[in-house]
Amino acid sequence: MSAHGHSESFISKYIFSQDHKTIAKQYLITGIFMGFVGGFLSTFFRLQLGWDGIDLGFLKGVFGNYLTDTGDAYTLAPDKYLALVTMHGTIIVFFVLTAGLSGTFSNLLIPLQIGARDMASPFLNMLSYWFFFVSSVIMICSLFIETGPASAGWTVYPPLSALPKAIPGSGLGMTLWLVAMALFIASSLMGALNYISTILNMRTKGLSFKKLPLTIWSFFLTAILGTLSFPVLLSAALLLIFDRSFGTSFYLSDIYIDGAALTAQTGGSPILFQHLFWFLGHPEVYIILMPALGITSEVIATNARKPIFGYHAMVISLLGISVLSFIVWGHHMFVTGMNPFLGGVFMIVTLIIAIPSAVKTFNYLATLWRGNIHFTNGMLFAIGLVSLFISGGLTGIFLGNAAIDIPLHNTYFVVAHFHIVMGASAIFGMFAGVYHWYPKMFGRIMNKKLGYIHFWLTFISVYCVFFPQHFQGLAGVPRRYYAFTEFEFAEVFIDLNKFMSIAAIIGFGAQFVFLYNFVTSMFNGKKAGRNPWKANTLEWSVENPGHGNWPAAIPEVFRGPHEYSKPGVALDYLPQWISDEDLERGVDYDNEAHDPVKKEITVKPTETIKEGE
Amino acid sequence: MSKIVAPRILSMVLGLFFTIAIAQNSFAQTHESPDNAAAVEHVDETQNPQWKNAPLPQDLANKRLSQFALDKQLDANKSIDTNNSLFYWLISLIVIMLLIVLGTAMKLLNGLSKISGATTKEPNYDKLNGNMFLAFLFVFMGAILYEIMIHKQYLLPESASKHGQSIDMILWITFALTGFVFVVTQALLFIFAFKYRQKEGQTAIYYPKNDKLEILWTTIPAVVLTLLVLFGFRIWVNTTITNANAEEYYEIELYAYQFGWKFRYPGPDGKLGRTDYRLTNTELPGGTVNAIALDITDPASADDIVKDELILPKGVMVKLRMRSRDVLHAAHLPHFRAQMYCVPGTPTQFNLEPLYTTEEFRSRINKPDFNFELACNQICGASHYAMKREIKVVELKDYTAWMSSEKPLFTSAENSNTNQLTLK
Repeated sequence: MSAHGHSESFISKYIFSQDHKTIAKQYLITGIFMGFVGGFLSTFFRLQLGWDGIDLGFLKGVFGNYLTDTGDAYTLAPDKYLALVTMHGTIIVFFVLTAGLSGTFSNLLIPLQIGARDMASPFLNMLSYWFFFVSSVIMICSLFIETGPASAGWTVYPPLSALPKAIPGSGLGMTLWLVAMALFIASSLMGALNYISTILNMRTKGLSFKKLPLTIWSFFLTAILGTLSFPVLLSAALLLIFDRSFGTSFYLSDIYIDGAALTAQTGGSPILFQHLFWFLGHPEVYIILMPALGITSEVIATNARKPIFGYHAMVISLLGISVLSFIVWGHHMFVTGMNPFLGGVFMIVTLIIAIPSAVKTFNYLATLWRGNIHFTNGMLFAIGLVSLFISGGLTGIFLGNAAIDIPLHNTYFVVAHFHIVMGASAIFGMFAGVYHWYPKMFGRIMNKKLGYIHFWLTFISVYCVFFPQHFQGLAGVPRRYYAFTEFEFAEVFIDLNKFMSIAAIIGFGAQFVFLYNFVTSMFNGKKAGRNPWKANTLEWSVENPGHGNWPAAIPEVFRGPHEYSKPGVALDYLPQWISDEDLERGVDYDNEAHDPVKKEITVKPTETIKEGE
Repeated sequence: MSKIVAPRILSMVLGLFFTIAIAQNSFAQTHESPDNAAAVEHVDETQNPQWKNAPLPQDLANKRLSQFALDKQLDANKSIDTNNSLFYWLISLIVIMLLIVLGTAMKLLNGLSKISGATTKEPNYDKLNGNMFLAFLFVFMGAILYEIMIHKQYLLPESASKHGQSIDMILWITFALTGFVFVVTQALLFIFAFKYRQKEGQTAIYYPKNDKLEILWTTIPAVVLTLLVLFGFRIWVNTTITNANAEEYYEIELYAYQFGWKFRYPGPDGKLGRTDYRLTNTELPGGTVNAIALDITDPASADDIVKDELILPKGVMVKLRMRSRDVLHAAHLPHFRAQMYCVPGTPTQFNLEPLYTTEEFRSRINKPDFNFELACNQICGASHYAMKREIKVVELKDYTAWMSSEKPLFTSAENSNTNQLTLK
């Protein structure tokens, strides 16, 4: 592709754009929108969980089909509570944390950090976004149909998801869900193939795998996980479509419902679906988490002004997590009636996966130790991620242990675990990424003070919502319960649920601070220079990357991505594109006019270390 | 090229989607009501399809309203005419106004700081955030302790089953280990954030790796986890495999359906008989409804007792067999540390040995009105949250006496004899 700009129409520039930076922004904005939808749905059902039977009449105009008229109040219908839970999970897991996070930052950073002009196949890249867009539209539409959206939980276990007579959401709502997911998977595969081929083939001169930034490593492994596991979900979804629409019985057997036995559909197994689902479902957890960890690694190294501690150990643990993630799916199914011996094997491999995770945590801590920590907004979210990763990771040791999983399976302990380690962690990684790379996307810096408010409100409310759920789970309170009024062991937590609901509402409200900041900073934000955080990776070598990213030649890479505070170097950072000879010549890479390729400005930098930002 | 191809692909995709949607609808219509001639009207009141947003049953609704009256809030909301679209316009208007106010305030503040910029210094945000992290650490740890204090008696109540005691043991060991790691790592994280915040004249050290440290903190978790795995594996095998192979046991069947449970006791012969889902809710000779699909041609089935309450004998191995009528359910017995899915088409089981009768357990925990509870723990439909039965644990002799006094679901001349309950 030519590096020279050529005039483009509005449509090809902003809508059906093939430029990876525009596609990244499209992913980000769609992801943020979906995030608000998913967040709203959770606030919606948290109102019911906090104040059982609360009047939600004020939502009647838009969400009337979710409410039931009890005579003097419009309360949330019990089956629509399940619909909300299902859609909240689906939207956040797939549309925000898979497409919104991976799609945004893989697209933005892969070409910029490896020194490529664009993706290997820009057209496929564009197609990937538009499949995602259509999928999002269908998913959103399904919220408003009369019988309600899919209601069988985000795991859509059949037979509940296969039988419209079992729950109304399994009618048209479920069909829309399956169609949207099929498109989503297609989109995700197109994206992932592109990321893999770009990283393998298009790295700039000198950028060996040993010098790759950890972001790229994590995007690379994430893409491989996605390519290998998403097709399995697609096949599971197709078989479910067959069972629902064409009378097959892959997942159905011995069912009597609504006054009739399904004698024509027999011989299948609902457990088969769970195996297929979790074969994607578990790697999916790492598809979500690894990009967030990669982003955090870069943000922490940059802002602690230290090399990431144990770069090789970090890469090896990412590799270990990737390989292991394919053989642990059975830990979601310990009590489904799976062969107990098989359960034991899954338990062993599951607990092994805790080792690379522990290594990553200790390495983050060692990176912070004796650093010079700049509390940029991105850095705050990165530190928040580490805290959440510790809290949520440790509870995984309970749930991965098959014996302990017997009483804890499907309780609020599980809800707390995955919301902290996967949901909130990944969201924090995404926020860290947005604050950190906003200057590369829009040429400006987001408002720092609003960022602080956003971080602290979010961080505190996340812990207030999810930490108490551990206690609820230990007492055995099951998840996906519309109300806690029926059981003695659940009833005692009603007050605690009010507290969680209030925290959830505050947390959701705090996101509007982010939204305001995100939108207004595009126009009013402080102008960012070429390298506002004094970072080392290639994307910071060029101000406002245009079409083809670098105006002239692509810079060469000479060193690893984390040469911060290196002894013998005047400044506390040393970019990848500076060779040892450049350093000897005294190239002033701190200067705004510095050219990463020609390097003709050779004023020696002064000995004082400049403050970042 | 892209300009032409992309819209085409989009329209193809949309076409496909509509085709499937239409196919789905037409299939659903033809499939709607093939009335099974053999099926009688189902008499089970809990079986009502609740999916037309039907109001809650009156007694339940009353109970909820009286219990959780939020009158003030309800009244406050009532006063707004929610039917009126004006309401939504107003809400949007308020949101927009708020955004404008926020924007103006930000601008003003920025302007002020610019005017007085020379004199007033920007607050030291590094110090502020560092202090916040340290404060957060203490508040966080304090809040956890407080929460444990106030809910102590509800967290993991004493196990009422034998295998549950070993599960509790490994749970507490894991709790102690992870609790220790949790406190240490969180403390280090926040203390580092506080201590090494950006300061005048502070430089970071260049410390990219230390292989010895890496090996150290790979092996320590590995060793600890190996111990946990070995220990956990033994308990898991004891709970699932060894218990399942117990020579002597009493069988009880848990039959789950939307939205309730039925329990089948083997009757005098001590054996649970055959079932066939096609016989669900057919009429049995004698007029009773075959609610759990017994195949009465099997003599072992013919004397089976079907009840709405779960009664367990104390001190013996009980094999809980599980079946489901319609969708996935899960039998969750939190006090017994027992849980197993009920899968249509695939029978499952869980073996446990109750340690105390309900009476004994009440006096142990000092709650005279306590009851063991059985909950559904796999999403199964609208009333999933209310799919409850109480569990009664009685002495073995009371259990056998009770069973021989009960009549089987299906009564015919030949099974009127009352044999003694035999142990398998």
